Amino acid sequence: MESSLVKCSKCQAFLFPEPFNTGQFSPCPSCGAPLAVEVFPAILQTPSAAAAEPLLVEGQSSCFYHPAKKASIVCQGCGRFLCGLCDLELNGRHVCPACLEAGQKKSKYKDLENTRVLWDHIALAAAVFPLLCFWGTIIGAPYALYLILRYRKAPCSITGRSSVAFVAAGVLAVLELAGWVAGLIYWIVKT
Amino acid sequence: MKKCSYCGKEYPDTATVCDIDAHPLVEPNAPAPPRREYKRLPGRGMQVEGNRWLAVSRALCTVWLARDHLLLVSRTGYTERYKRFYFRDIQAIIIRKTATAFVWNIVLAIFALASVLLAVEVSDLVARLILSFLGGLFAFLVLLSLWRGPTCVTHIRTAVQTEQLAAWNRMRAARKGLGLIRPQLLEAQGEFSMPDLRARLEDQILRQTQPSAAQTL
Repeated sequence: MESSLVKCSKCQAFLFPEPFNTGQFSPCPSCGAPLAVEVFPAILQTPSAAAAEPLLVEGQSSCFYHPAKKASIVCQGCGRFLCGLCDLELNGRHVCPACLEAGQKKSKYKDLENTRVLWDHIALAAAVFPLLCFWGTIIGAPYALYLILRYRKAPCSITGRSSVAFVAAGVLAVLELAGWVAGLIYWIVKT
Repeated sequence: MKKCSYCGKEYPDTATVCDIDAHPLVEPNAPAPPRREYKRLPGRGMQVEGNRWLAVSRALCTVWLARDHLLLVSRTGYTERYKRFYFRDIQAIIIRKTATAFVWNIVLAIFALASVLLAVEVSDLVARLILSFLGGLFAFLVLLSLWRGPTCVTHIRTAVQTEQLAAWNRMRAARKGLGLIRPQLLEAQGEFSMPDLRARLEDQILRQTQPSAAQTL
């Protein structure tokens, strides 16, 4: 946990708040590096851990994971009763740790995704780069078509780019294969 | 009165999600949501992983603005990695001006000048053409760097981490990006008066430094 002291990004010396939010650069008191610091009210907040209330009355609904703690909410994924410790809020939804983990594995929660493979760009590269070496298109074009068919429903970039790369890769791969077929027919007819 | 975007059940204005299917609630006459969830912010830059001399990997970084968070996208080859900074968690943005662009401009200008001078001196036509092309290329790079403006290093700080925003490596992009996210940050965290915030920060600094001073004594 970081303290509310803002440090210089070069020498890690603590900075005094006089020049903050002025929009002007002021030198770091330690190393002299010109710094412009913009602070926001969150810097003064101290995060508080969720508390779980103990069971007061026998027979009261208890947490599924902590039987000695009072249930405060229902998991919207599996319906289990949860205490304040087990309640995880994600975009207004309250879920338990197990549902969150399962959702992350199945890419159910977009906000938890931290990596994506750009299959559309791989397919485009498989169709374009072999053009540098003529014979490479024999392998590159079918591989690009395989990637398109295999991953056509896979999500592209999270930032919402369209799947133009998939279309371009498909058109190019089909043209390359058509070229090979035409060349083969021409060679057979000629010989 | 709000309605569930999935089943259409009506809820009071205070509710946020549907009790039945957990879909978000919308105002009946609310405008349609934007087609894209993310809006690209200015700036892009390379983040080098490894040490100073040997780069293990290079990632192309961009910053995107969402409804409630800032998304840092690092693209390495054909993989994108995402880091989210929610507006309610952002504590500070620190911009440090660097001399990188200034140094590179001088180096490139020297190369451009040397190429042009050599092109004037040599008699061979092919060599003259190549040197003129190189001189023009270096001059173009200097002009491009001058147009992009001075360089900087930008860090974003939350309660648990301080992360470099490699995309904001130019002053112009950093200032423009900060200007675009500031209203959303203040909306998420609430308006504040700077003298009050400064006074409270100074108070906290005193409280945090006093025990350590006592320990050293």
